[in-house]
Amino acid sequence: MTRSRLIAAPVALLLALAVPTAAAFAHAHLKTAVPAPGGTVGAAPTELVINYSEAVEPHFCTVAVTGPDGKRVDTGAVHTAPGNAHELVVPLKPLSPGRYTVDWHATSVDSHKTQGDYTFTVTR
Amino acid sequence: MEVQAPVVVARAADLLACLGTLGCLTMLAAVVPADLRRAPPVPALRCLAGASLLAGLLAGAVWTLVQAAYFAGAPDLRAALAAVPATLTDTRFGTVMMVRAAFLLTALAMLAWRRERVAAVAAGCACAGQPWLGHPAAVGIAWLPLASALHVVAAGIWIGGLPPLARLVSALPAAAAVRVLRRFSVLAAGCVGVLAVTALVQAVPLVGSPRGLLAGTYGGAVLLKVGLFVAMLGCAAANRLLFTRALAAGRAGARRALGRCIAVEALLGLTALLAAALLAELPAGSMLMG
Repeated sequence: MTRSRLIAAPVALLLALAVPTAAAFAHAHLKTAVPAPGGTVGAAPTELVINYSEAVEPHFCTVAVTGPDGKRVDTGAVHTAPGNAHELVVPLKPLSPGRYTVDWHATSVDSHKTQGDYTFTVTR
Repeated sequence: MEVQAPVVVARAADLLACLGTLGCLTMLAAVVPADLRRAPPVPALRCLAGASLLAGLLAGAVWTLVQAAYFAGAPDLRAALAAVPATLTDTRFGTVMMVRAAFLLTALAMLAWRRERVAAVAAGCACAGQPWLGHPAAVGIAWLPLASALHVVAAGIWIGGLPPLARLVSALPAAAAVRVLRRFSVLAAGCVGVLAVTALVQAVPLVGSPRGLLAGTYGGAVLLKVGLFVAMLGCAAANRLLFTRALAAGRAGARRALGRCIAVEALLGLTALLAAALLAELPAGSMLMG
């Protein structure tokens, strides 16, 4: 092992880190959703779709959607969209106008769990 | 996100057992010269490799149970056991763990059949599955898990090879020990190159920028690993340039000094592996920086 090699490896690593790059995300975080967080929709949706930053394991994901009266309106059976493991689909019972709360718990394929909540409003 | 201590411990135990297995099998398959295969310490290394393989299988089973408990939020052992089938069949973690177990069992069978090269390759394949259990295969960069797999295999050959190397150096006659040291040194130098390059290419997307190094525990663990890597290089250089030459020249105390230096190098490597297990459970620095 030469002295130059001993010095080169850590220096190269630090130089590489000095190069800015696009962030690579790990763990599933909510990117987009339909209905959108904080959004208002006219017609009542029949399903909720959450798009995560990372592929998720649907068997260990839960999404609870509660209505203005505090009752659950999701059917409890979540699944990923065909061909897109980042997208979780939550079938909904018929919704009446009002404000709904979404409480999601996701397990990503890198075996970590994340959670969050948001609201959306149905006007008719 | 909270770090789950039982998951970190289970992952670390699995990593240590698998990399120790790979190092020991590589030592038997590629470092010990053919004429030394029957020398007294070598059969003991076969036992050590077998024990490491069994430890790897056991650690994998325990990790699966701990991970199932975490996935399901299981409050007790019964609930954790109930979550194991779904973890094995419905998650990427379970699929990878079953494939890895198959490779470890193959390695065990090949070791019993004295096919040490095949056993080493099977153990290498088991170790190479590690990136699919963590960040590298999840961030959507195609080459990242491949770079990470090379990184893990190189770490296994180098760090996992140190305990059997220490055993050989302490038990073999000086001339034979020097031959083994020189052969291992060539292999380890290759591993150092692979480790440096693959660490670099992984750090760019996962750490993101120098700010990512300062972003909490993840950056700290990366810096710790870099520091440990540099310290291990120092030990390796001392072994190669000072102590191996002293042993070859028949200087008194050279064997003891070599043994101590290899032990320090192995301890540093062990700490690096523990840091790696912690890193796998933390959000990447690039994510913290957004």
